[in-house]
Amino acid sequence: MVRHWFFNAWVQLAICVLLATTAEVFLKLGARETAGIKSAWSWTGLTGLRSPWVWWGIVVSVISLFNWLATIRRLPLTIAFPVGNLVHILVPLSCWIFLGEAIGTLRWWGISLVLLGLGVIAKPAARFEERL
Amino acid sequence: MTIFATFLIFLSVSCFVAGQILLKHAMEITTRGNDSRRRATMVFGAAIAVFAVNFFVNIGLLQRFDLSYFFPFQGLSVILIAFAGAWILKEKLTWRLTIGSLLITLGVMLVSLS
Repeated sequence: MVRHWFFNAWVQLAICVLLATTAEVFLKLGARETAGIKSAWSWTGLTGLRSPWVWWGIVVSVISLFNWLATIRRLPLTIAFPVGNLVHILVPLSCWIFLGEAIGTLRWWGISLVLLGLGVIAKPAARFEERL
Repeated sequence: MTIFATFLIFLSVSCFVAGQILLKHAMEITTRGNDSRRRATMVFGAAIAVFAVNFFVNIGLLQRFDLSYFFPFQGLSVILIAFAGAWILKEKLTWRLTIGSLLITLGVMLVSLS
């Protein structure tokens, strides 16, 4: 029962979005931690690998890729990809909440438009869920 | 914006869209049974190769432009994937899905611009 629920395409998509958001926050924490390191290679971003946050970010990104594969195995790309863009709402919100970054007016407008778009596609997505 | 920069942005977005379509196609093949495993692996490999091209083109763009300049173009991938999914993968694309994808595209572009 739990296994059946866990492998549902929508649950996999939700996990994928949450993990992608977490990975972005981890990568930002790692980048912040290693920003001061002076090296000839610093322009490549490779100095970021000295931070455990970056490694955790990479691990979480790879896991989210598998969740994405499990998602598109069942859901049409025309539904899964737009819904996956929830990341563009969750990343700024997470940065605001956990990293203390500011969200400007234009970004709030963007977030509102993404939410509106998700609201519009909710009906065809729900119809597809009934067929699953 | 030069013709070369326009070409690089077009190439980057096209590679991302093509990569997603190939990934979806590979996943579709895996549901057909064991006989198709080899073909699915090949399509999956092609998807990874196309994503690799996208990765390096993006680095090339980053070397020439600010991220805030070219990143909004990535938002176009939402609507392009919707159309490509309908055209290549024969997925159903309703008016509601098209309008929703367009709104998300605009939203992502605004988030990227700010």
